[in-house]
Amino acid sequence: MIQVGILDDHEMILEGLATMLSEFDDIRVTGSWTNPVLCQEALQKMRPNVLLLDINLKTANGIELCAILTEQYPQMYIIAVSNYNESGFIKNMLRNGAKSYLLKNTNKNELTQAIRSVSKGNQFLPRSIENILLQESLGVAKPKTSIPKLTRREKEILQHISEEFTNAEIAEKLFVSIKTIESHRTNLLSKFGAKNTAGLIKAAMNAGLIS
Amino acid sequence: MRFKIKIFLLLTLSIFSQLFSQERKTDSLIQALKNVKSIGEKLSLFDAITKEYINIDIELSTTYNDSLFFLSNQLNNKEMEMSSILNKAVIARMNGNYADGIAPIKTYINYKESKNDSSGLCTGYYQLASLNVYLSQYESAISNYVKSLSYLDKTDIKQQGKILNGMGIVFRQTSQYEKAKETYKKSIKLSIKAKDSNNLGIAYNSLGIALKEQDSIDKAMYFFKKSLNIAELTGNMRLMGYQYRNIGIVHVLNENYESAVPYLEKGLSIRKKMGNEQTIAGSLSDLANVYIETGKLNQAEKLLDDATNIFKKSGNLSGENTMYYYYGALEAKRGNAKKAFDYIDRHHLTRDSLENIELQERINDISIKYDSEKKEREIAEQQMTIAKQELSLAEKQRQLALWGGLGGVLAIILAVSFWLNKEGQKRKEQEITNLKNQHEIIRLESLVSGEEKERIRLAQDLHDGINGDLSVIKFKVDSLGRKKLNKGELETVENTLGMLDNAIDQVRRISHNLAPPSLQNFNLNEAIQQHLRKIQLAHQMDIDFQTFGQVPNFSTEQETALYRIVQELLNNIVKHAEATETLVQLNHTEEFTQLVIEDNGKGFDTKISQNGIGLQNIASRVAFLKGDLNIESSGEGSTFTVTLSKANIT
Repeated sequence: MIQVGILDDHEMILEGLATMLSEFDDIRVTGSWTNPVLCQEALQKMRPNVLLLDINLKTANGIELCAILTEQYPQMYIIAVSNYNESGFIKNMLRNGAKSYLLKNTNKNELTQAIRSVSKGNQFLPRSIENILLQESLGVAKPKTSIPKLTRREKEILQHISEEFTNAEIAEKLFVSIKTIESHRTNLLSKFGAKNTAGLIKAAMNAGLIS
Repeated sequence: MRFKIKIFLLLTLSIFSQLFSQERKTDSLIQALKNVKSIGEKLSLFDAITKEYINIDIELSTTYNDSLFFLSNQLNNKEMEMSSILNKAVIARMNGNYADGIAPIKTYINYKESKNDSSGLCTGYYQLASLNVYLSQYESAISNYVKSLSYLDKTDIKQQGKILNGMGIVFRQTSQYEKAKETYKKSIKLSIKAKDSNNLGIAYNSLGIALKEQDSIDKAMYFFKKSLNIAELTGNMRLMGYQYRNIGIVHVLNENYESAVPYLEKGLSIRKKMGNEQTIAGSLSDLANVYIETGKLNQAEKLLDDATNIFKKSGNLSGENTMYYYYGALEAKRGNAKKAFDYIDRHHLTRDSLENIELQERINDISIKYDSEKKEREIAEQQMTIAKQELSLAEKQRQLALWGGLGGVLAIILAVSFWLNKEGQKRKEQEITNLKNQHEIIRLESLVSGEEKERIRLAQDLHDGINGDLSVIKFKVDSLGRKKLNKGELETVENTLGMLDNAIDQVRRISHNLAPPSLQNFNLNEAIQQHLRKIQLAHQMDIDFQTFGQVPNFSTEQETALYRIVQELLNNIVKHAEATETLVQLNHTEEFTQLVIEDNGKGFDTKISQNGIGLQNIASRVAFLKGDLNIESSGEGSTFTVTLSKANIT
């Protein structure tokens, strides 16, 4: 028998989840709370195997609460149940010890599947959540060899640098302050991963940005 | 141990020396009383001495106030009589007889209303609100504080500091700690400006308590010590009592029970001298708590009984409720699990009703309503000045025409005066434009922040309300026993589930567009990144996001405005630019923050499109940030640069 606790400040959600789980013989809802303080107090006495935890609580931050509860009760596995589908929330919950992340409009099958596999200490992510994380990693990964993107102003300054103009001279040409040019120059160095102007010019020439 | 006794002696000694200097101050007032010339002067001195002694020796204060009341009543000096009635209410509060203070305050307010005395009304409502706080009437408290603010003379920053401290207490009592801390900090600033050491000490105390309740114990200790310092410098016994107690409690929280006891006892003895039953009960329960922790259970129980009696007698619900928590802890130590559980349960039930969320909301509504009314009033005032200026300008012009009619003989003089008038007129016109600009900025600020507040409210209603309900409906449908259904019915159930999912996705999307949750929960970079990712997925456009330097301390409004600018610009690019690549770059330096968005699209005519709604939205947000927007566009693409100088950020 898997014992399940639920913390969500929407009373109807508690009821809805409990009804949905009631038809399964191997799962029993042993506690449900709308108030995080009462939940934490109850956990001192009774310990469900799995806790369904909402992120958007009125009186507490579910992300922080997840970390606290995981540390206090490592044997109780947490499933985040949230309306947020942005990767920041998912990653933070998983980082803080949640074993699974479900959207609030989950269904019976997905929910029971998650509860069963999490209760054994396994991680469970439904396809939809996996996709969100996957898309993000695809969006971020860029081939290392690609040419760094420069703004038009940066290209202009790079050209002037390659023509051996000093910061002060460039500033005068472009009607901006020396500080502004300095910050552009720092950004250029970091975009090309160069240590100094010589490295910058070399990298920019390799990229074909200047001749 | 010997060391501790030494500290204790030192503390006691320093208090006596402080008291002594304080007494000299009041001595000079009493000395003045002997040389008094007129009876009016005598009454004012009685009043001053009453107020001076309130924090030091409440019995003496009462004696002087009684004399004040008697004399002013005999002489039919209504103003001074009312002053003594106000004092009576304050003394009742200091004595812990909060309910007894209400009637005199109401008499005072009625009188001041009949005299249309706004400064008196400001004081009256402030005192009434302070009583409301102690009587746990938080809603009345906040609305009376707001009334007091509305009568406030804007130059009276001392009174304003006191009112803000009171409002902070209401926020704290209803568990809105961040708001409370913000309000206390404002109060501290004002008190320092007004050189009001009394309220400064109290505001430090308030801030310390809020921090303590949020478990920032070290920070809390810092402010308690600051407050104690002020209390000792000014001989404010009441504040001193508070601080000995608070410092003791910090030791308790750090589980240094031995260090805690002398502080708590010192606090109790000061409070016994001051005679405020409520605070005595507070100190009794603090000591009881220590005794519970150190196993002196019978001693603890006796103290708890005394404290509970005091709270019950005065109808102090939240005080009484705290006692149940301690009783619970006591019984737990004795091993009576059932009794302990009952007490704790009772404690939670009452506390939940005191923390009632509806109440928090009502309190917020009242204070927000006040804020927006204030803005509107400011705008109205500005408009009136503008109207007046314009009127006087029209008047000037009419006079000019009259002079022109006289013509002829005075032609030369006329020419000279015409020229002078023209100059003056120019200056006036300049002033009017300036005022109009200022007015525009205020209008913009309230518009932008009002719009954002409304967006957040709507998004929350959609996200927590409608989407929560939709999920529940989905759960219910999903709970239907499928085995009993025929094929057609099964299909309907599956269809319904699919449609519900669709609806939930849409509501989520709308809500997240209205107020991006990443912005509220994480930070600007994360929110921008999330948004760009969504656009990239939906529109097959290559978007590159780079950020450099340390993000400055933006306020939430500023972060939101920057986010909206990115959102709106990207929107335009997707809709009109036909670009395949976009670069978004956020660069923070020591002097400025610069947002650059570049696309490789077909460009647009910056002169014609300047007035489109999209660009207007951007321009108003840039103006709100007091920044600078530069647009360059050609057939090779467009560059939007928003620059915010650091000086305008904070």
